[in-house]
Amino acid sequence: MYSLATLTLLAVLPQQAVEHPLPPRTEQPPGIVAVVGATLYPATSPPLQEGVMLVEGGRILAIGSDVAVPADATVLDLTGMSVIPGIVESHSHMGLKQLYRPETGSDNNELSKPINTEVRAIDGLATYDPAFGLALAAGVTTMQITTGSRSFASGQGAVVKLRGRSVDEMWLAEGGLKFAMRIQSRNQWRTPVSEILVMLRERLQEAQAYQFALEASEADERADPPKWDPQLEALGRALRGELPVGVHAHGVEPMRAAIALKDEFGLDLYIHHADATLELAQELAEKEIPISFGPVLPGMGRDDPGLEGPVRLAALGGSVSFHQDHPDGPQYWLRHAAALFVRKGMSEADALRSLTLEPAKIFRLDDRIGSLEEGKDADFVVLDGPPLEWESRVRQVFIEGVRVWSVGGPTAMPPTGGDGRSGAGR
Amino acid sequence: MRVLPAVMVLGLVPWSVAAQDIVVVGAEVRSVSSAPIPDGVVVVRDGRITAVAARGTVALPSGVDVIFAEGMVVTPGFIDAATSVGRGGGRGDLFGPVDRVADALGELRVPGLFGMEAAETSAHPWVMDGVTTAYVTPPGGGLVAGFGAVVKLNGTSLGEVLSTAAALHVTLGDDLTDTFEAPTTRQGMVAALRQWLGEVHRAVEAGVVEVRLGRPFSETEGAAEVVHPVTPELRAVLTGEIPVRFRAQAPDDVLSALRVSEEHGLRPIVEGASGAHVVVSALARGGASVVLGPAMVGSGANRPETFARTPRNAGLLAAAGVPIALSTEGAGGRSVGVEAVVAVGHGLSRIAALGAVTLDAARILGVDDRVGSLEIGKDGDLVVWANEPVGTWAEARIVIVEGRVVYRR
Repeated sequence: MYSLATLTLLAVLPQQAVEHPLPPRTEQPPGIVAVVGATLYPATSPPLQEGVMLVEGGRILAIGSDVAVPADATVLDLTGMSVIPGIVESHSHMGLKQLYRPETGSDNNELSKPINTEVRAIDGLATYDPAFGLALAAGVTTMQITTGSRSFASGQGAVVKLRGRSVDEMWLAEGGLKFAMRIQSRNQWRTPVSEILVMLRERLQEAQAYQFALEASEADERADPPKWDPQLEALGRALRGELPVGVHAHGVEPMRAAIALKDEFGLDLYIHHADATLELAQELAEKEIPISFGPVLPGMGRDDPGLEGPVRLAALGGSVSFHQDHPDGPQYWLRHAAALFVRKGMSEADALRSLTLEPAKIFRLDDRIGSLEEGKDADFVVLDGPPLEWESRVRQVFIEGVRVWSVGGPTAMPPTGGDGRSGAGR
Repeated sequence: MRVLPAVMVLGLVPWSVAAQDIVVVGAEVRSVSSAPIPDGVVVVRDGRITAVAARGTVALPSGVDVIFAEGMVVTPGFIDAATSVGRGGGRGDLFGPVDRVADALGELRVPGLFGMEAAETSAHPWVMDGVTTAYVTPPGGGLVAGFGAVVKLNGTSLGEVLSTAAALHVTLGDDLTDTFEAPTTRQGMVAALRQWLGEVHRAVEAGVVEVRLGRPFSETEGAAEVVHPVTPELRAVLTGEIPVRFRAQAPDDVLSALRVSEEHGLRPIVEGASGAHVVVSALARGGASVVLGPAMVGSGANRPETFARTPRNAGLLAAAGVPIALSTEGAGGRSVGVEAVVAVGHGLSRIAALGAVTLDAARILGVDDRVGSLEIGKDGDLVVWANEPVGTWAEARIVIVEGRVVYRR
């Protein structure tokens, strides 16, 4: 029996649910779609003026300047437009830190203990957060949702595509295992970086021993297997190179600590934030350690000296990705951020790769996403001008051959949207 | 409007460098006030513009430094219509915590009394992006917060103060209710504002020298009584000579500003104004100008207060005929030129965007007799750009203030 209060509450609840920010996952359209007329930016090769890209079954069938358009293809004429690969963001807390629940809506940090390697972002993702829709409108098609930095190892990230109305529909791949070399007093346990390093090393050594004991018990029936430990299981996967390890590090000392872990345990390391990249660029390039740099906008000015690190690393052949670290920076300005680095000397080709292919590589997804190449997912963004210019705007977004967003289309953002906030769901 | 050298007001380093003469030849000259000149000349003598013309149509003075700028673009120095430049970071991030002030109706401060500092570096990032004039908001952000100033930027230091009382600041909405003890509601603040305006009106009519406001919001025992002297600036506010700058974000707060302005014959400027595009027709009807806050903000700045924020704001307001100026609100390292490019990417024409950081801004700030366009008699404040000035790749190559080169890349 409902109480009177409950009945009253039900009566005043809005009759219509707030629209989900992302389009449902739908089947790819049948047949071949031919994208013609646009300048195609494959990211792995120079731009193709009026190139042709054929899409079938959600994949890129062919791309080039001299690709013939089949007679039965559906032609998508994008004359005057630019087409870039779907933007990939390597580091975000979207859906874990919720846009409309600033006080209570944070599932970002499991704070019951300092090591949480068994925790998975996929289990806490609020996919109904309107921020996902705004990211999609900015041309972001794939992002890694990562846990926070207030514990020393906060969990396993999730790489999702921005379509579908549940985490299962959005799911693409596992992300990185997250460590945080966070300067003392900023983390939950007020521990200096040197002690964090000790703690993580001990846990990784335990994982090595655990791994050894597991193998021994498999080889010899008389040996007991170690007591099952989900944290060490996850660390073991990192030790075997099955999971990349993303380390939160600001400043030289924390970045060096992260590199020390890679040196000692052979981790597949990438460093996010990485604001001391200028000082460590040579080492990062030599050891092939990618950085995920950000958040960039709106915090950094056009001539911010902090922009120089990624420019240097890219010039040395290192791997640079950009991120906006939602909710610190809105995804809407992620593409704009790339232009700042070009102003500081990064090549436009490198800057575009930093938005697409480089982050895909971190998660070993560069065989599927991050560039416009034959056989890859047909995730692409249509802009009305050169892709890195701020005057250009996103017109359409495709994921696996399906148009998931367009200006004025059925899944368009509310007219007031566009920078991390919209009228929806106020 | 009082004009006096900064050194007198602020006690800066001696403002002794004489204004100079300079000629810029060969660039595309965008005067803003008239059509662009493809191959133009700008002549500055004694710090003022004496010629803006096509090359070959005016005689160049001899013995004057000449900048040859073929292939480049010359514009007036840009204006940032809301900053905290020179304030030594007193107010900090507008969207972050603000010092709580017990009393929302404090002293009516005018610049020079709130401690502008000529920090060596504070003006530099602005000048690197071609900004030569800045509006300085008074700190504190009270209901009636004092007067804002307009100041020149001389490279690494503050220059002349063009106006010490360019507008009276009033804060509405969450920016206020989140900050002060009382009143605690939007409607309470508007009621308090009406009360204040009523008291000031009565004082002016009665010819008294000060408005005694008692302790309107403070319940603290022994709190100081608020007394506002009836200054010429305050009288000028009531006659509409000096505008009232309402800091308001949500559309409903913008409408409150217009309502109170109409009741009291005030000349309204709306600042921040993230929701202004929702009420464009009311703004146009009310004859209001808008100083837009930055479109590019962090998600941390997102609150119900700014739910209507959109980068399309500038374009929508301009299309409705509302005069707009752009601003950074003093955010660190930011440039008003960036705001102009973002606006162009969201529906504002490039010409209108240039106007919003030059002449339109100068008019809204009341300093268009001195700056904002390249016209004979105006200050020789110009920027030589290596490329499109309102563009992603914009690069200020040479910045000139009153005929002196203050920055060179």
